[in-house]
Amino acid sequence: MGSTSSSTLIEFSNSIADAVEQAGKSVVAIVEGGQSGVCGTIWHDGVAVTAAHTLRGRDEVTLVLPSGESTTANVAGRDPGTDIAALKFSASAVSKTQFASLEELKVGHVVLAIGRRPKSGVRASYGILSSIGEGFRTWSGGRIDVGLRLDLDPYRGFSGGALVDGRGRVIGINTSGPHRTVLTIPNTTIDRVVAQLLEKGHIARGYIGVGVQPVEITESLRRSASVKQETGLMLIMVSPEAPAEKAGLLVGDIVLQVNGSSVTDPRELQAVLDSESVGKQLKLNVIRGGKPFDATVIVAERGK
Amino acid sequence: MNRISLDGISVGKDVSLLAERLWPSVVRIGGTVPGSGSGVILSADGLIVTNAHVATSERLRVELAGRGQFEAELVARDPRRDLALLKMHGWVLQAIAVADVNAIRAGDLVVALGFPMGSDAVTAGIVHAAPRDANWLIADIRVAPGNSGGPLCDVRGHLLGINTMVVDGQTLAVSARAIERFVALSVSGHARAAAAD
Repeated sequence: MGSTSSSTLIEFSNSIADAVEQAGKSVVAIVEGGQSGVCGTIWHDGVAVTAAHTLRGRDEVTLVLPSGESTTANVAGRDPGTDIAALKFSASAVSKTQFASLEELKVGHVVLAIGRRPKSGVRASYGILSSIGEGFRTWSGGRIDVGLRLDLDPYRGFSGGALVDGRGRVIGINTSGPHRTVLTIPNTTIDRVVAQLLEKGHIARGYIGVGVQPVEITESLRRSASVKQETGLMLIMVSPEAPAEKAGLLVGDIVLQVNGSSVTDPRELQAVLDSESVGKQLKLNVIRGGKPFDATVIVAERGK
Repeated sequence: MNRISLDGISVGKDVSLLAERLWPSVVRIGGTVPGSGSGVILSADGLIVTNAHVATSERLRVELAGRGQFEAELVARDPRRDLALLKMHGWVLQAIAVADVNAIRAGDLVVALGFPMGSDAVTAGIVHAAPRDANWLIADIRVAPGNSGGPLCDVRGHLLGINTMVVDGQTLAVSARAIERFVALSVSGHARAAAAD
């Protein structure tokens, strides 16, 4: 070989391998029935997180730590909404996980999906951040703060492992998205959910006790009630003793607004009833008998 | 290869230069038809390694970039390890250097050269997991049929293995160490066979 190697290329290669090594100290393997299953990411002292769907109802799992040591972990809580489960374990020497600041992320940044297998150790796939979008609500109702999309090939057993930046700092954990894609749950969402899971063992959801159906508000109704909105949510069910009934709401009432924002889709009402809503007042703007009125509902916590 | 950049430093150009340096050590085997593969030149006197599933006859058509097509003979074939050794006569070739497989880390940048779907291509990726046995290496890199037998190299252009198959989206390469062992056995066996003639 005549020419010398490119130092840029060598530096680049070393920095990626360093990032993998650094992040690998925070990624554990979760052993399932003696077989290598999925991964978990150490979040802080004695707490690891994984993708809740991979636990399939188990309350106890075996972790293989970066040191190679095996330990039992208890499932402290799981949130199907965001697919996050918190695991508690005790281990002597575990290094401190470093986190990436989500505000500093840019499309095109290098990302690595880090996993671990019990025997072969740390593994990594390389990709880039292909889009950073607004937060969204999952099909199962969980709130994800930032929508991250990746150009990265998922591999078997990657779920629960860390997505890290080019310096090995944890952006979030990976779980399976639709069409064999990777869905990354950002670290801010995990912080929020894990704090609640450790405190309560579950994620509180708001409850007002209604069933709703979107309905068209006819022109004559709009005129008589002096409103412009063309769709509202009709109450098709009001549970006995529930907050909505206590507030005087009846089947057939049409909800136009919640806390001043129009609601035209049941998911918008569901979105309002998140864990922070519990115990707070909701101001509903409602049409009944062609006339608008306001009702105040105090949100209760949905039974487990 | 645009996707290979870190903090705005693009290494695409460096990968191109590396590939340019490596191409003289890479051959196409079996022409441009689908089902053809790739091979790597191991010695200046014409030893070429490829996969056993690429080298399926005693005489094979081998194409060297810019130098045309030649015939090579099959020296040894081990379907269990999916390795085959070919020999081209009468040419002085550019041999590839072999890497130290012990030094490989997960995350090391790798490049694959070969002839996926019959035409030349360079792809880049990383080592997916540090090799746990001496025979296989797993890489997160895009390859396709036709890459078989072609080199997987580190950033210094040293041979880590030859791309052999894709399992669960990851590329499995027969490691350079397994290749060296196979070549040593084949050449001594071949020498013995030649002496017995």
